[in-house]
Order: sequence, then C-alpha cells, then structure tokens
Amino acid sequence: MTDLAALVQDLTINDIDESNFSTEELALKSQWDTLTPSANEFLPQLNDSLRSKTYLVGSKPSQADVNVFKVVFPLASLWTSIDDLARNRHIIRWVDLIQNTLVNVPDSAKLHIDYSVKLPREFKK
Amino acid sequence: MSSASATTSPLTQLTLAIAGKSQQLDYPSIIASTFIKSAPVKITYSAEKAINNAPSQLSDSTGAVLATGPSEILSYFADKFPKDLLSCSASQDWVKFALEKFYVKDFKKLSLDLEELEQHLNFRSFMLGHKITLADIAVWGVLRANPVMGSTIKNDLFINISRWYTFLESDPRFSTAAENLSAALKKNASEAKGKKGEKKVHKA
Repeated sequence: MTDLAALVQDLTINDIDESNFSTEELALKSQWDTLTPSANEFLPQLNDSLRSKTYLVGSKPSQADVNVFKVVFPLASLWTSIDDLARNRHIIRWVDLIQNTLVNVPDSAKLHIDYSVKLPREFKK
Repeated sequence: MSSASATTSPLTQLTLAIAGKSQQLDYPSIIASTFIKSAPVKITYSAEKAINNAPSQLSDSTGAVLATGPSEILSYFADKFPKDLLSCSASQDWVKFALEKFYVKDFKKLSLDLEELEQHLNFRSFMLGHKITLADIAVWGVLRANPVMGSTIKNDLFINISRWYTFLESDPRFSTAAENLSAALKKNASEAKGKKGEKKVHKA
C-alpha cells in the first residue's frame, strides 16, 4: 500500500490537450478536481459517473483523470471479491484505461485486471 | 523525398462502392476506409440494394475487383494497411461475430449476442487493448447499421455497450459514416430527379 502510494507520486503525465473543451467538459473537470480529497466517500459517485462516460469529462481525457487516478489507484488494488469488482466495475475499467494511456506506470505495478471474470449483468435503475 | 520512399503509385487509388439500400449496410468498410492514410480510398454510394449480390465492393483504379462484401474488404484493408488499421486474430474473431450476429433484427435473438458483448465490455473501454482496432470498427459499424439498435443504445438497455458506443460515436471517423451516406443518397436522388425533369408518378 505504501509502495503503491509512493509510486503514484512519481507518475509521469503524458500530454493532454484540453484546448478544445466545451463549457460542460470544463465544468465536469473542475467538479472532479474539487472532489478529489475525499476519495473514500466519492467512490460510488465516481463509479456512477463512469458508467456512462469513458473518461471523467466524457469522451476526452483531461487532467482530472490523472488527478483522481492518483487517489483511486492505490484503493483499486484492494478490490478482489466479486462483490467489490461488481460494485466498482466502471472504476476498474477506467483505472485500466488511465494506467495504460495517460500515465506511465511500470508494468509490474499496474493494477491486474482479470478480463475473464464473469460479473452479474447490470441494469439501468 | 527520394522516389524510393514513394510507396503509393496513382494506381493504388481504391474505390469503395456502397449499396446504400442494402439490408446490411456496410458501415464497417466505410469507417475502416477513413482510417487508411497510406492510400486514398474513394467512396461511392448508390441507391441499390446490392452490388454483385453484396452490400459493398472494393476495386482499384483499373476497375479490377479486389474484395466483395464487408468480410473480404475488412480483411483486405487489415492485410494491406496494418499500420493504419490495427488488427489481430482476436479482432478478426470479433469481425466475424459482428457480421454474423449483429445485423439480426429479431431483438430476442440479437439480445443474446448483445449480452455477450455487454459482458466483454466489463473492464474494457475499447473492444481490445487501449486503442481503436478493427474489432471496434466492425462491431460499431454493424450495430450502427441495425435499425433496432438506436433505441437500445439510447435507453441504456446494455450499459457497457451504450457507453462504448457513445464514446466511439464522438469520433468523427465513426459518426460521419452514416451522415455521408444519407447526404450522398439524397444528392443522387435529387440529381436523378433533375435529369428526368419531371416528378415520378406512382402507379399505385
């Protein structure tokens, strides 16, 4: 856990172009930036949001993805039961996307994703 | 630039002919062609139900047919332009699956295969890996062509599919495929009407 946290500090951020963001995308971005400090409380909200959005602001990566990733990454490695995986399934998908595209995490430290796990199908509430 | 580096001669100009009234509109080949940067692909649209019994046909500038129908055309593209169009054996499997299963309009039948796709997209933002591959292009294109999918996506019947579909739709290389087709068919129709000089009267 400490190792993971330390590693996250050392992440290199790849270039993200935010110059063509819409007002809505900018608003979402700052919303996630403000929420970041209280990670444990906002996990359900994060999972809900990522249910319909590939990245935090929608279809484009932003700096908010990197900021929130740093907080969530160490927590995600603790999810192992089917219940945990199902409850946080959208966060796990997003962590896998971010760790492989926006930031540089050594392969050995990446969150291991077992794509073959069968999760119960989710239905719109 | 030295002449040795010019790998594309004018002869490699490709033409993709699309039967715009096909029951199995070949959006996958239209989208795939927009990814190809190594050779120009010209797309022509006609208001036909089929071209040589297929929804599409690919030919070179001499008119010689290179591939007929989405399966052959996508294989040709993936084979000739591996740098433009990422593909692997797993993506070929999804191409086959998409072409066989996702044109089906019987929702009961279709939904069983959609469930498989929904399960596959747990933990996945793209069909395979972390980039657009031929698998995304094929599956998205066939679903776009299927008239029962519009409301299915909009109503989030399959949550992961809707997220993945909407994500790719935000990429103009995907979203313009359908727009270009309908614009071209409209243009063809109005030109045909102009030639005849009079409005066609229905006999019925």
